[in-house]
Amino acid sequence: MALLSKEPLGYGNTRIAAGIKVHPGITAGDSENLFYEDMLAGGEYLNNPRLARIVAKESRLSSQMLESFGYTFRRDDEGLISVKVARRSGGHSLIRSLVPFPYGGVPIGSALRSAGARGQWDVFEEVVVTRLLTEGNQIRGLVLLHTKDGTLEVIAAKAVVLTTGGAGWLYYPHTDCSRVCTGDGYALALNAGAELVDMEQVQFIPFAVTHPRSLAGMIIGDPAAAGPHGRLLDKDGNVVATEINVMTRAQVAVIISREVERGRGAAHGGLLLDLSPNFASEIGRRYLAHAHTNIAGLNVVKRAYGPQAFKCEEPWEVLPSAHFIMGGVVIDEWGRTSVKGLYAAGEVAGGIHGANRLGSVALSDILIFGRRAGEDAAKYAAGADAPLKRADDIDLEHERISQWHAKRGARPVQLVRRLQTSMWTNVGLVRDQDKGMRALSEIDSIEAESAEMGFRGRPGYCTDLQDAFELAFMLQVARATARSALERRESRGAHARSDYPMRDDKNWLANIFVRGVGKSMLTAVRRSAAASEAIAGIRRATS
Amino acid sequence: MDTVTIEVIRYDPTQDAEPRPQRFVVPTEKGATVQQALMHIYEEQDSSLAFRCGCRYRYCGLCALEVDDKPCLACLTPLKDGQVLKPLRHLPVLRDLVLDRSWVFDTMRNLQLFIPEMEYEELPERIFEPEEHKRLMQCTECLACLATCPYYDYRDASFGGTYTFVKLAQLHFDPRDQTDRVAQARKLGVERCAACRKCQCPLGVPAWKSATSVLLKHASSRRD
Ligand SMILES: Cc1cc2nc3c(=O)[nH]c(=O)nc-3n(C[C@H](O)[C@H](O)[C@H](O)COP(=O)(O)OP(=O)(O)OC[C@H]3O[C@@H](n4cnc5c(N)ncnc54)[C@H](O)[C@@H]3O)c2cc1C
Ligand code: FES
Repeated sequence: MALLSKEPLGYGNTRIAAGIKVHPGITAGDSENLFYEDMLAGGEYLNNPRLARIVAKESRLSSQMLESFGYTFRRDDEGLISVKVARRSGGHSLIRSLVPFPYGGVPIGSALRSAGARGQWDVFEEVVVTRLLTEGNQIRGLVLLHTKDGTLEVIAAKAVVLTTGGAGWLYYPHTDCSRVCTGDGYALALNAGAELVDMEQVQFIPFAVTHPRSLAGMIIGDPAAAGPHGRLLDKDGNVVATEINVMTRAQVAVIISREVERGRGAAHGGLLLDLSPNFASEIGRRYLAHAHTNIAGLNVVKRAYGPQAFKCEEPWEVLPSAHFIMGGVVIDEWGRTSVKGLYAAGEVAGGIHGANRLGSVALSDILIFGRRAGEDAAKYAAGADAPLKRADDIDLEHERISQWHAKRGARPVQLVRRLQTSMWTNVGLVRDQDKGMRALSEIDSIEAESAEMGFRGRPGYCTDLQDAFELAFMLQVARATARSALERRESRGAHARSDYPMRDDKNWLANIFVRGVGKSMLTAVRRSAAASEAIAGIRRATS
Repeated sequence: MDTVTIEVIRYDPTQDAEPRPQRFVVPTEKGATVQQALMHIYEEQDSSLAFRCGCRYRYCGLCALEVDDKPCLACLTPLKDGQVLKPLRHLPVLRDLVLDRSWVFDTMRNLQLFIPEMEYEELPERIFEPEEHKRLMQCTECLACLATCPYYDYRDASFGGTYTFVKLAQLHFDPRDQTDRVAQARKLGVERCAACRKCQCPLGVPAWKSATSVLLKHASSRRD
């Protein structure tokens, strides 16, 4: 067995997360069912109900997993995990999210890293998996690039579990995600023959920094960060929205982007989030007194906007920022994909969160499905035949690299930046038919140019080389996202279309599937398995 | 457009006998950081420049380097005219500003820098996490502290260095851990740290106060 990572082990978005983690059942009246219903309602019924049910059931178990790795949740005065160290995170109907002190991602990352050192498996740090090897519809290994010295290696494997995280970097600089989140796993899965679901559902965290450039895109917080009385203002100080803290991330992101598109944006293209009305009431003041735990990015605010802003006395300019990919590789309860021996878990997997992920659930989901996929993969591998390596397994990578060294076209990073600009403009906060078509034609044109891209080869730590492999992945993910966004002719969850501004339950309680690569990529629409729950849920809400 | 001139200490082990300085003129603006300058150089001026960048703000610790001889994080350091950028001293350099970090994981394995495996039912429900533990767990593992430690050298296995002492102290304060971390620290020469106190963390993790000095105190009290 081997663990592989593009960075040192235990990094990725997990290490930079705020560390707020759902732990249902600590508030009186909470239940597995209620949490499940919140997930489905928040996800606007695109969730795979079986996967959401598992998250509802096993979230508490995943907290134990994390502590068994060496993480410590914040405790109350009695040394216990309780509602006293929790808060209501965006989209949850009650308090069930544990809040770390002072920032939880770093110790979670360290704990996972330590646990990674505990077993006797092989560890490959700083490697980019460039391709999965298959035989028919079955995994037989993978190819990887060592970034340290530029060498390639083949690993024969009966099973591969993708835990490659999301693709927020497709929207740089409008993202708070780590540089490594280039969506490699989605593309690796597509290339191997697996299917993706609902890739149009890209979560934008509504409040992120707009300037200075060095901090643009960094997370301030989700709707709950507004506190009970926070409001959004346009450039002239007109109130655009109040009672923000009960809205979903998607709702707030859409409000901001619609105003900005109408030309109501402030100096750096965002709206103004004004927390000062909270000073006027008792509960507001109580909220602000704990601003440092309530607002994940308060220290970013201080750095970007200064001390007055930090005290919540001045409004903050905010713009949504790509934060999480709800869509992803289609999996079953054990993380299995349609390719034998290929598994996916964590953000790279799709279907769990539907059209909107509730705050603090990702850090449960990644552990729950990581464990399930790992267990099943081990069982599967025990019974599978030993995979064969072939002499020509690395030829494709060698060929690609020597082409890149020979050619003199654009550098990969230039094409990456072009793609990111197009994704933000055309498949960003608010989409429409024309934008979608423009995105696809830009993807075609970048793909064509990438056939000529080139750079000087150099042994060891060659960033151009990593960029080149990642660009190929990003193009696939961009295409899957744009195709799915064009397909969904309604607005639902994180997907907002100006030409179809309403949610359309009659036609679109349905998932969008993507298969295949490049221009032969195919989409298919199937009725959502949560559709019947949706109808029941809607009936409950209206009765 | 406003610009500043900075110097980057470059090193390519396949070509250079010694590290060599190179000057770059880069654009600047209000709030510009060293990281922004490095990204600009890579994208617009010199594709061979190697540096690490992870999260762009504070949490991954991968961008640590020295600016004007001071260990810091590139993403948090304001860009200024005349700055000199170097890789962290005392550590192995792969290329330019990029350190070889592979030894860190080996150290974690060799010193067993993790709590023991436990069944979930065996995990304590009630935990009173010491304040020191909370603070030490904010260590991003950026390794900048090792560049402030006068005794540390990656080639010298007899001395642990700040980072390792912080990891040992994290476990020392962890109620779930069973191993004698003080004995490990002693074996790794923590007693050399007496009367030094030069270790510093760019993010303010109390490496001396809550880690090295604590291990040292316990180690010294066991001397006889
Ligand atoms: C700023 C921020 C704050 C957040 N805060 C919270 C929070 O408080 N609570 C919450 O629940 N969620 C939060 N999230 C979401 C959550 O952090 C992520 O969804 C989650 O960490 C994803 O975990 P993962 O293991 O799937 O992927 P990651 O942790 O991103 O790990 C992916 C790993 O795969 C590796 N990899 C990728 N491609 C390859 C390849 N080709 N070859 C080899 N390795 C590869 C990467 O190097 C990386 O190590 C936050 C997200 C962000 C960006
Ligand atoms: S880039 Fe992550 S800490 Fe600087």
